Amino acid sequence: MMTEALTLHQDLSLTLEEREVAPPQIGEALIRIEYAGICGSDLHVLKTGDWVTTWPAVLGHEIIGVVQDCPGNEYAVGDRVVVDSRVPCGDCTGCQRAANLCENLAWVGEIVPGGYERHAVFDVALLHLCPPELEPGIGVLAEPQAVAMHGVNRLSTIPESVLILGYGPIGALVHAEIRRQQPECEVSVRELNAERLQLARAFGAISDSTRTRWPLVVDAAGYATSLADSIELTAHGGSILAIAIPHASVSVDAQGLVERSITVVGSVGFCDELPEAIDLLAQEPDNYRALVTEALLLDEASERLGTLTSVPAAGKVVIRL
Amino acid sequence: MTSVPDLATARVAGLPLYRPGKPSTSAAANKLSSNEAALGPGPSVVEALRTAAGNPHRYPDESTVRELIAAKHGISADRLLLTNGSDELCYLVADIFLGSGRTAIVGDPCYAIDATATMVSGATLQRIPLVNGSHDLSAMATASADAQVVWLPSPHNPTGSAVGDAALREFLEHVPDTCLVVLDQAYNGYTDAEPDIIALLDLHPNLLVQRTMSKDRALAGLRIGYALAHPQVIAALATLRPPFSVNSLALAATAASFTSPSWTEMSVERIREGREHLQRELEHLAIDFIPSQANFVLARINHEDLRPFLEADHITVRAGEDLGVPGWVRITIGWAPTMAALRQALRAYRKACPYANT
Repeated sequence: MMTEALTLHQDLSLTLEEREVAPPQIGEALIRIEYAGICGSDLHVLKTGDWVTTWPAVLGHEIIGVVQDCPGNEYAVGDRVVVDSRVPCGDCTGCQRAANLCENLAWVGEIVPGGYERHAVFDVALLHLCPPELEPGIGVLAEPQAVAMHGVNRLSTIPESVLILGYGPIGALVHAEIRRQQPECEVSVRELNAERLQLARAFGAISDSTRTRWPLVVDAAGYATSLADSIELTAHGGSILAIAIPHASVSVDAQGLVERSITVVGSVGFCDELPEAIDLLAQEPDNYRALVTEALLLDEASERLGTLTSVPAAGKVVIRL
Repeated sequence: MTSVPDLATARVAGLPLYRPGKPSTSAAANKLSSNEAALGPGPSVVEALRTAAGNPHRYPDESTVRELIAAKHGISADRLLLTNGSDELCYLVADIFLGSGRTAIVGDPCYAIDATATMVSGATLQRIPLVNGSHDLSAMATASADAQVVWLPSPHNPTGSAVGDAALREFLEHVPDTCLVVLDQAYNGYTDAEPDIIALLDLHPNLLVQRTMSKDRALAGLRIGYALAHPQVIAALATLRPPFSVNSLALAATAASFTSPSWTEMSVERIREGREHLQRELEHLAIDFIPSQANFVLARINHEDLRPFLEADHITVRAGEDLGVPGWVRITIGWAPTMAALRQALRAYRKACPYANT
């Protein structure tokens, strides 16, 4: 069948065009995509073409949709599903521990066509069934929510106060997860964008703390010196959760790292949090609704993708297919 | 002798029954028919409600909320009265200032409760047609010479049109001191610019400003609003108002909302963005609409023509027939994904009906 897809070509041109989708085989399902989220990594790929292995590409790894055909009957037609974004190799020693520790980890939208299209075929192993009450416009947050949950789960404890650097969607979801797990925790935020800061304040974050160092700093910004800044802002014996991907090598104050006994915790993707994230979004949609701040129709997406880096959204931008 | 049931029926003969907006048959977020706040209340309000829910055995104490609202407006607390939604205030005003042999002025179409409260009191309702969706302030001022009350919602419901500061000042200059002007500012939170109501209240003892917590503060289900007016007017209204007509949950939520305004500021910003986006879309589709200063837009579309295109997403909007504007629909600005679905429906409608209402 043919479907309409926002297609990224190797010369980095982005066009809305028809694409052939092969019929699903046993072990696959054809999904009518309802919403696809726009991730910061998608914006990076749009500018650089990094990580894409098959051209032309259809980006988008935050996907919710409805099963339209499933020859092996693993899912029923009409089932609403969230797509797992991870494509591990399955052969390496990392894969033996967890999919997100795969040494060759690839992502939907880069190695296989992703969610910026009306229909796509996925391996049924990537699909997670949603409860019927899950609103698709909320459920599209499941993948980044799982990322935020995994980051927080990587910490041994949540201290009484936390600083979050950067209040993009991942920073905001980490805030929501800290609030859920530790409601008493005082959360400070540093964010230059006024709309994002307004969103942070709306969710109870402090932007004018007099503290100079925190027992936990979350680097959800990923700007050139954000890890170095995180070290400077972390108290003795404190921790840094590095969850944003910086796109350049950075030099850090290794002496401070050692002398203040700072623990740096890196976190990529998620482990087994995706089903929990789906259930949480189904149960508490109103705790997350304000994080989806823009919804685009497919023919509006190309133009907005071009401006998102220079004119960032306040929260998560999703494409309605 | 007339029976009790017949007496009851006779008392309300000719009065319209209020018809609330239709709920969506799926998620509540798809209801764009009642001008509710799309994002709901903020976390501090939800927390305050949880705490207050543990004390339903105590009578409500209004003092904290009165102080917070008075401080916000920079007035003394004897110039404000809390009411059970702003609708209770309409009936209190009608009780005091209207009644048989008296007259109230409304725009046409008007907010339904203003008309009902007037008619329940036995007063005559004089309707002054809107001009291009806005109040005909000159005609209303002229008519006010023989009236006791002017109901003046701004932004107006159902058109969303707001009276500017200069026009409001001029209007108040022309209304006699003996006629009460009820400036209903239910949707004031969404306007681009607001009049200096305290300065106007200082100048005009016949002005009453009506506010609600139902819209930008997202507390429609709790029923709380307030009046700002001359202390003697407030004292009279307070005498008639039932004691404890505002419940403790509404008071707790309102206190939290005033103490932590960040959530309201953020959610109003989203609604303004959504309103501009919808109006751009309507322009693009050549669908006539009235530029709005509220959290809804009135568009010239026949509801029955649009309804089939909304059904796939279970979206409900308000038929103009319910609001005195047949041939139009009132669309509440909702959550971003719902508004994307609505744009899709509008495009499909326009494709199917290319020449309708252009």
